[in-house]
Amino acid sequence: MTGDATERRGPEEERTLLRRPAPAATAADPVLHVLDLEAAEGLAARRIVLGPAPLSIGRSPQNGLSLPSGDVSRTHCVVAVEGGVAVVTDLGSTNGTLVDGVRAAGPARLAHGARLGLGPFVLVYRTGRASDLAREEEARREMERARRYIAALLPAPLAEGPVRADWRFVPSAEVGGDGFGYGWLDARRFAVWLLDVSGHGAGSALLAASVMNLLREHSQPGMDFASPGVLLSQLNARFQAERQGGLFFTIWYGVADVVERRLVFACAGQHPAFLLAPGGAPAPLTVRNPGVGMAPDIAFRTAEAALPAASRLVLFSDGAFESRDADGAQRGIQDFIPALAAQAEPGLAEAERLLRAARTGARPGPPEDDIAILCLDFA
Amino acid sequence: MEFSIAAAGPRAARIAFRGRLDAAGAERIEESLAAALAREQRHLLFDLTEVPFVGSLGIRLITGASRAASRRGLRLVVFGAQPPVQEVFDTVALDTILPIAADEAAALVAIGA
Repeated sequence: MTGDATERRGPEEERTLLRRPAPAATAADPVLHVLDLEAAEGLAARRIVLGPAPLSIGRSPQNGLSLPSGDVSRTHCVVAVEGGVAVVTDLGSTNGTLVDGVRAAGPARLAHGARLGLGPFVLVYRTGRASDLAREEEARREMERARRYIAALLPAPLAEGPVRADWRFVPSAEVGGDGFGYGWLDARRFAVWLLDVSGHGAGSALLAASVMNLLREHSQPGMDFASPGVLLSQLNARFQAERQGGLFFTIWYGVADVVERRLVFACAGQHPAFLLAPGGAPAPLTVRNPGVGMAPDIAFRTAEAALPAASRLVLFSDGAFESRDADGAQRGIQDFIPALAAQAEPGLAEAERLLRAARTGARPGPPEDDIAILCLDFA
Repeated sequence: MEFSIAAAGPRAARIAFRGRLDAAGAERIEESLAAALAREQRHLLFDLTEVPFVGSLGIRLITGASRAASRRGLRLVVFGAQPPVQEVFDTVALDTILPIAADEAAALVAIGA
């Protein structure tokens, strides 16, 4: 099989349409079946429109779609559209063809949005009227802009000083509404926070961005950034869910006094952050409060912890542990705590090690929810 | 995700949910649930016995329904949470916002119906 699937289809079909005019709506707006190749291994992202002939995919250039990687077999699989249904058939490839993370045993029917994994490459199958697919594509681009906007609000790592900070952030395909930040309030007090807006998508991203814009200034009239409980009450008054499209957010907010070596924190609807003192087990830092915006007039409780020399504070979003594994089983925070306690790996940043642990065993592809991991090291 | 409504005693309705109350599940039933509850004149018992997972939009669905109910002078109680769901409720301190009961009998006591 040679040539691109797009080329095989184009001219043929146009002639057909001229000879036998179909109803206008169908002719102008045909149902398409496409595979969207995600950028990987130096290949740019692109869309392949599936034609009437099957599309062979493999490493060698003779395929309709050639994917150059040692992990892709010479002729790896074939995708065919028959009777309006797209089916992928693995052609005995060495590493298999994954459909939504599960190795396809025989011919597998593809649902809209199905993710095909071939070695390092991911192809997303989509179908629909050309106009609908174009609209979806535009929505995805808008989401990408929201994602970049959130990313631009994140702080730079701190490589030196009494508090060093490093982080990893992997947004989900739909933007999960995670955000975090840190910085000095004055010469001795250092504030750190991590928030997660309920839901996904543009609405969650907008709320995350407005809260982040407020918090990253570390000074606002009428807001007490040095007192976690007071600050969360002030946020709660500003961001009531009923005025925010029903959205609320969870947040962990702490202020470390590096002279007194104490950490004051409040946790609103979120799982604990963890403090690791040298030689000690990870200590959960939590205090029970509802999320910000869930109900009016909440008095947020705070707690305190000592900050021993050379201790590390780790904050992470629920996307780090609340995933489903390849078998669809739900994972919880208890599955992630052993990774916190594990030894550092030489040459590997701690935030990177934890990110890899979070993604180990999860389904391949973009995470279901944003993953944010933040490590602070106190001198 | 789907739900069904049945009587639970003379003054309460039991809304039984089945499936994951994650983002997709919550969005699927959001409008139909709001429409059904807007007509409801009885106190509400949310039965989560058949719900293996509740995400943040599930929490939003429950707290939103509770607010809407209280505006109309009705009470909402949640019961039957499986351990992983109860863990989520603990994390967001849901019990500080609305009553959570172990089973239907306890839920009926909680709303005084």
